[in-house]
Amino acid sequence: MPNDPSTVIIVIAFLALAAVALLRRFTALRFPMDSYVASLWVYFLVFAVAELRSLNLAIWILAGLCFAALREYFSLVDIRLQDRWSLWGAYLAIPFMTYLIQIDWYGMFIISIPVYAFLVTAFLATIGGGEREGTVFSIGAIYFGLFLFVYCIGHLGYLAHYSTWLACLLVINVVVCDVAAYLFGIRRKFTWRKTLAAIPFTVVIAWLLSGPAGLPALHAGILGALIPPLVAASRRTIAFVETDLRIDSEHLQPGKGLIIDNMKSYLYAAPVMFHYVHYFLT
Amino acid sequence: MKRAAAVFSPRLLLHRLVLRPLLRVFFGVSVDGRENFDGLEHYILIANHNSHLDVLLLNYILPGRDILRTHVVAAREYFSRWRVLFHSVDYLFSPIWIDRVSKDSDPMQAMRERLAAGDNIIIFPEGTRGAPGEIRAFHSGVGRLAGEFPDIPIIPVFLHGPERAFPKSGGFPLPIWNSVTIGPPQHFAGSSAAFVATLETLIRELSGSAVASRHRRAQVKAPPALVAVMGVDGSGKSTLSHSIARQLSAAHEVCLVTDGLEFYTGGLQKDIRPLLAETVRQHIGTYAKHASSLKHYKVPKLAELLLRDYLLGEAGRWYKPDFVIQDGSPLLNLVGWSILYREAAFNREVCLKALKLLSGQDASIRRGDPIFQDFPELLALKRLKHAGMFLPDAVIMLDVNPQVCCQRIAARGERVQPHETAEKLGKMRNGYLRVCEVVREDLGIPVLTLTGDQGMDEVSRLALGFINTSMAEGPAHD
Repeated sequence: MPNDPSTVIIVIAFLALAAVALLRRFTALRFPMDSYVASLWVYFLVFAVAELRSLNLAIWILAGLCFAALREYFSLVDIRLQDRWSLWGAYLAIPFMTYLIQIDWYGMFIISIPVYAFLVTAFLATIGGGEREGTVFSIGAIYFGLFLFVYCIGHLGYLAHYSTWLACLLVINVVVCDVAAYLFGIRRKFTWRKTLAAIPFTVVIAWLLSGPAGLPALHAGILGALIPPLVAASRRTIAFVETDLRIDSEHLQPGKGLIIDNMKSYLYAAPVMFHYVHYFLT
Repeated sequence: MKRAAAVFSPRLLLHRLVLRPLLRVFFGVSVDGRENFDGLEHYILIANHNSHLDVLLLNYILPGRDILRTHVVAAREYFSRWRVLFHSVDYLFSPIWIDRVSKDSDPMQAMRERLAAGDNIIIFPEGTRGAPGEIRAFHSGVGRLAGEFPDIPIIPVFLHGPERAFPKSGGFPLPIWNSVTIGPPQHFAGSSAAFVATLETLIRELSGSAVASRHRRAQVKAPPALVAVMGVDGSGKSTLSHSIARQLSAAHEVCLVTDGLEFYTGGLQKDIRPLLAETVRQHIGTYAKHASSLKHYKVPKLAELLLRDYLLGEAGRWYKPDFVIQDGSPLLNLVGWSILYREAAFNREVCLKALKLLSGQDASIRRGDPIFQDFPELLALKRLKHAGMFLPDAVIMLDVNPQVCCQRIAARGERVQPHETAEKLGKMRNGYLRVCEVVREDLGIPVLTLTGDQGMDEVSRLALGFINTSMAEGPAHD
């Protein structure tokens, strides 16, 4: 078992995360991205469970993450009292989609949220009451959250279904992009320098992980180069959304934007990478 | 020994291992200001009340040692409707049950006993769950209790989220984050009324920061306030409504529905986009004015009134004014007019029924009601689904002697309409006065009756003052 590369990498990742946690606990050292490290624990848990225990369990842990993000989004957006049925439908879309990932029914997974959950949540927004004013806003707001925080993150789960290492490659590269975004220039502001600076690192990491992930080297390189612009795009989009939702990015709290903020970099990269792999490599 | 027993009490374990994790995982709870509990053994918790979740959340924030000796004040008659619920609430929270129905026992006595025994209590000073997101005026009980136990501090707590996670009319709970803000402990000072006011202000302040930072969609403008100027022809109601509209428009946007449809803003009349319904109404109105007899007058006038009522909704929808001033309310006119046709059957009860029927509040009126035999037109209107006319939010009645009115009408030099005789105007005046009485006493809508002897300037000054005072609390239909 110790010779298995998966186990070795999982142990290394665990030690790294544990070292950060210990440093935080026992020294005065404070990391600027405290909650960010916590979110990495979640992804680590997902991959460790997928590799060592059961893929299905890992996918359902990811569903829990979707739930947490969606709940936080719904807590922040202004919903009407009569939209409650629609929210209820949106929450139910999470197990619906996750089950489709688990049974590996690609055709249904890909339309689960864009077709069925979309139609059903829109309809449910009309059964809770007779108020018609604000319907478009409500349906739009509910579906926007459902799509971003459930469907896009769901692609990460399906990617893990193809290969845990593909999903792992995505997470590691996104972390590299986030660190680059943090180190280069002012936080939260989009610059080409920040975006491009990460590309050499992401290409190298993608190439290094292409072996266990089962990616041809060329495709690994292309994917590595694709991820930083996607991360930059989603960071910028969610930064705008956060401002509108009155999320105070300096004082993030659970329930007040923390989960959304830590998830924002994956929202574009996960579906694009999934479809790239699905189109070229399966 | 006692301590160990308390740690392993099944109630405590249920709280710690089931209730708290459940709240955390299903709803999500964030707590601000936990340090306000530091060093406090004995306290009274007060909070705003919107949801059944409130009790769970307040128990969630308690320091572990206080769970078993903190009791919420709850209404027995509400919870005793479901046996299982009552017993589980009784076991988990051991509340201080108070009975809001029977007045013979003093609810404060049980709270005093608990406090004297060294326990803590949780009170919702609003008394009952308010509408979502709303804080109602506090009851005085907390102040009296605090006055009797000046050593026990009161901790104000603001709960934000339960009104969306499990609102009063919501039916089922939904996963939505709840944030609990704990304010600094307050010690009794001054009079009990002043102390309650302080607590209320504190909780409103705590709410201010949490609510202000929420995402909000564009506010929908409230529907306009309807002010009806009533009076028989020639009483000067047109002149008065014009004058009111012009003066109100100094600070508001005002729509005036008279023979034409006019819009005023900044004290001036403004051109507005024409409405089809208005053009049709003017044609019918002209036709009605030229009717030769009362019989021919009836149908076009009825059509004109119904269109005029329809216009009220249209004006609110397209021009979005703050006020709509009506030169005669279609609904009240219609009811008042019935005196001209069937004087014998006209009485207070009929009047109220007709008002309710026509304004769509007809749930209590059956099909076989005698009113439909006396006034078959009502049944026709009900069948036409036109029984949803606008009730005004305030009524100004110009009560002028019919003789004077006739002289004024004659002085206009226009064609005299069939109903414009002193006798008929006198009857209508009585009908309108009767309607206004019913409107004021049975429907609770403010009515101002003016005789018009004071001259137009004084009359419009009085009318404006009346509108300002009666609209101060917002339109009655809110």
